[in-house]
Amino acid sequence: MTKISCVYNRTASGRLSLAFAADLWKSLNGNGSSASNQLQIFLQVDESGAAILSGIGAAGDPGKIVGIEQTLVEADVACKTLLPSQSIALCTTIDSDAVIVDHNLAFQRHDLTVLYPCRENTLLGRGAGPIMVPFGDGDSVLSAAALAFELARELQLPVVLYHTTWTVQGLSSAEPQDHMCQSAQAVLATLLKMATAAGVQCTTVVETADDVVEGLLQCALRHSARLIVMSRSYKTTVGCYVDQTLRQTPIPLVALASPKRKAS
Amino acid sequence: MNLSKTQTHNRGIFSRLAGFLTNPFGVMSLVVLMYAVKAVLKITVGSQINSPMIECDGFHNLADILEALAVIIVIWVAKKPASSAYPFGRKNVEFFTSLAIGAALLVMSVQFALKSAVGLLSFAPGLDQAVRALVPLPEHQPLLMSSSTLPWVLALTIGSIVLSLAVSRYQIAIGKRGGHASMVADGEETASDGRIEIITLVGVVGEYLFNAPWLEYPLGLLVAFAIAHTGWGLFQSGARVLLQHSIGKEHEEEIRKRCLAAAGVGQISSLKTFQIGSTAVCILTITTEHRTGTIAQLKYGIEYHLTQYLLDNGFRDCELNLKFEKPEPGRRRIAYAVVEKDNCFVVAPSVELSSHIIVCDLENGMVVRTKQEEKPAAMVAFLENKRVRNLYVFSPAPRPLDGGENIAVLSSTSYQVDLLGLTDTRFQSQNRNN
Repeated sequence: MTKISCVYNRTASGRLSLAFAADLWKSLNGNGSSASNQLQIFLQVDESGAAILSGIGAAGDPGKIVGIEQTLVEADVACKTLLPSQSIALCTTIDSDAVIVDHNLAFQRHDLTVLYPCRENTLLGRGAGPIMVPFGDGDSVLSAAALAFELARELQLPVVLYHTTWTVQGLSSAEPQDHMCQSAQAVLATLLKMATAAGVQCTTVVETADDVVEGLLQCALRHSARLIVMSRSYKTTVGCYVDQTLRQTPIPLVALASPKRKAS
Repeated sequence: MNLSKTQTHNRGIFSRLAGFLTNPFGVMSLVVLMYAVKAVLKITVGSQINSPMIECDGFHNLADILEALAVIIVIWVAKKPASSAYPFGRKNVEFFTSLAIGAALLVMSVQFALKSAVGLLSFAPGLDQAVRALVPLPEHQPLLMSSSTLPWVLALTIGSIVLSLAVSRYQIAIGKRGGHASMVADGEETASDGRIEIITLVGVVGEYLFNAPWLEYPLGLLVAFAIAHTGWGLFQSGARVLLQHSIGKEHEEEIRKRCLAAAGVGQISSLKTFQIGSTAVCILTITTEHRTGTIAQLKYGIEYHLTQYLLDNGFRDCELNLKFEKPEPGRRRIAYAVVEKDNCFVVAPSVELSSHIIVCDLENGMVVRTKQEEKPAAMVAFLENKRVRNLYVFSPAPRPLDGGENIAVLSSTSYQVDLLGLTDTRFQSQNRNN
C-alpha cells in the first residue's frame, strides 16, 4: 500500500497540498485505515522558536509549546480534511518511503519522492484518466513504473507509457517504435511485463517529438492523464527532464527520488 | 503490354469520373442536366396532352436550373481562399442561399397547402362557398386525364420522382461532405420537388384506379407541412449563421465541460461561439492560476480536446481563440503578532507579549507581501488604519482586543513564521546557515 505524506504549511499552497493528499489517501484507503497506513502530516519542529516563546514567559517550557502547536495542527488538519483523528499521524521526521505531497519540496529535495499537486486539490476530481510514465533508455524509470503501476492498480486507472526518440538516419520506417534504440526497447519490454504482472491496462506511445518535455506533456494532455510519474536519474547533472517538466506541467507530477540519492 | 496500357487508361478515366462525381461543380452540373431534361420533357408532354399542370411544372424546373447555376456561383465564391480583407474566407455566402431557398420553400409550402385545401373544399360545395365568401381562394382545377394520356403522365411523373429523390440524396451527401450549405439546401429543395411529384402521382393513381381523386389533397397538406418544416430549418440555419447565433447550448455546455476537465483550469469566465461557413468559432476566457510556461501546455490540451469534439460533431473546421486570465485576487489584509529575538521571529502567544506586528497582504488566500512594524502604542487604531480584519496569535484561546470590535483575534496553529508563509524560505535558510 502506497504511503501518503504531506508537509504541514498554513499557506494557500499548503492547504491545496493537504486537500490533495487527503483526497489521494481516501481514494487509496477508502474509509478504513490501519495504524501502519495513516495519512502522515510532517510538522517540522522549531525548538529555538519554542525556546524564544518560553523565554518570554509563554505557556511553560519549550516541550509544552511544541505540544500545543501539535495539538492545534492536528485539529486544523482534521477540520480541513474531514478525516477522523485516528487516520492522521503527525510526525516530525520525513518518511523517505512515503510519497510526499508538497508544492515546494519537488523543486528543493531530489532525495525524496515528492508529488507536486500543481494547484489541484484532487487527483480524480476532474474525471478519471490514465497515469503516465515517460521512459528513456535507462533503468531509473523502473522505480517510477513500480509506483505508477501500484497506484494504477489501487485506483483502477490505466497507464500510458511514453517514449520519444530521435529518428535513425537512413531508416525509412515511419513508425517511431522502429527508431527506438535497443536499450529503450528492452526497458519497454520490462515495463510491459511489469504492467502485466500488476494487472494494469497499459498502452504505449512512442513519438519523435522535437522537444522531450513538450512531447511528454502534450501526450499527457491528449490522453487527459491525471498524474505523471517520473524518476530522477542521478547521472543527469544538467537539463534534468523532471525539473523541466515540473516548471511546465499543469498535471500533478510525482518526482521519484534518485535511488542513489534517496534520503535515509 | 497493350493490355496494361488499356488498364492504365481505363483507370485514369475512372479516377477522373470519380473526381467529377464527387466535385461540387460536377454534382451541380448533373443537377442542371437533370432539371434541363425534366423541363424539356414536361413542357413537351404537357403541351402535347394539353395539361397546364405538367407544363407549368416544366417551367418551374427551368427556374430550378437558374437556382442550380446560382448555387454553382455561390460555391465558387465560397471556395475562394481567406485573405487579409476576408480573414475567415467567404464561406458565409453559402448561407445566403440557404436563407433564400428556405424562404422559397416556405412560400412553396403555403401555395401547395392552399391548392390542397381548395381541392378538399371542392368536395363540399356548401362549405367551399361559405369559405370563399370570407377569404378569396384560387380556382380549383381538377385533373383532366384520359386513358390515352395516362401512361405518359405516369411515366413522366415516376421518372421525375426517381430522379428528384436520387439526385437530392446525392447532392446532400456531397454537400455535407464538402461543407457546402448551399448545395445541401438545394438538395433539400430538390427532395421537396420529389415529394410534391409523389402527391401528383397519388392523385393521378387515386383517380384512375380507385376513383378517389380526393386522396391527393390531405396527403398534399401533409407534404406542405413537411416542405414548410424543411424550409424553416434552412431559413433558420442560414439566418443563425449570418446573424452569428451561438453554435448551440448543448455544444457550449460540452465545451465548458471539456475545458473544466483539463487540469489547471479554474473556471470559464466567458464563452462566445458562432459559425462561419462550416467552421465553428469559439472565443473563451479561462481563469487559471498558472504561469506562462504552463499556460502554453494548458492551451495545447484544451485546443486538442475542443477541436476533436467540434470535428466529431459536424463542423469541418474550428477557430479557437483562448484567452487566459488570473482569478480575481480577492485582496485582504491580516496580521500576526510576533516576537523578535536575534533576528528570528516567532508568533507571540498574545498581543501583550509581542514585539512586532507583521502585516500580510493576501491574494486568493496567499501571502504576497509582508511588512514588519514595531508594536504600535495604539494597536487598534494602527490595525484599523492598515485595514486589517484578522489578527493572529499563537494561543488555543486568544483574547479579543480592547476596543477592537472590528478586528477578530484568531488562533494561529503554529508559531513558526515560515510555516505561515511569512518569510522567504530561502532567506530564512540563509539566515540560519549564517
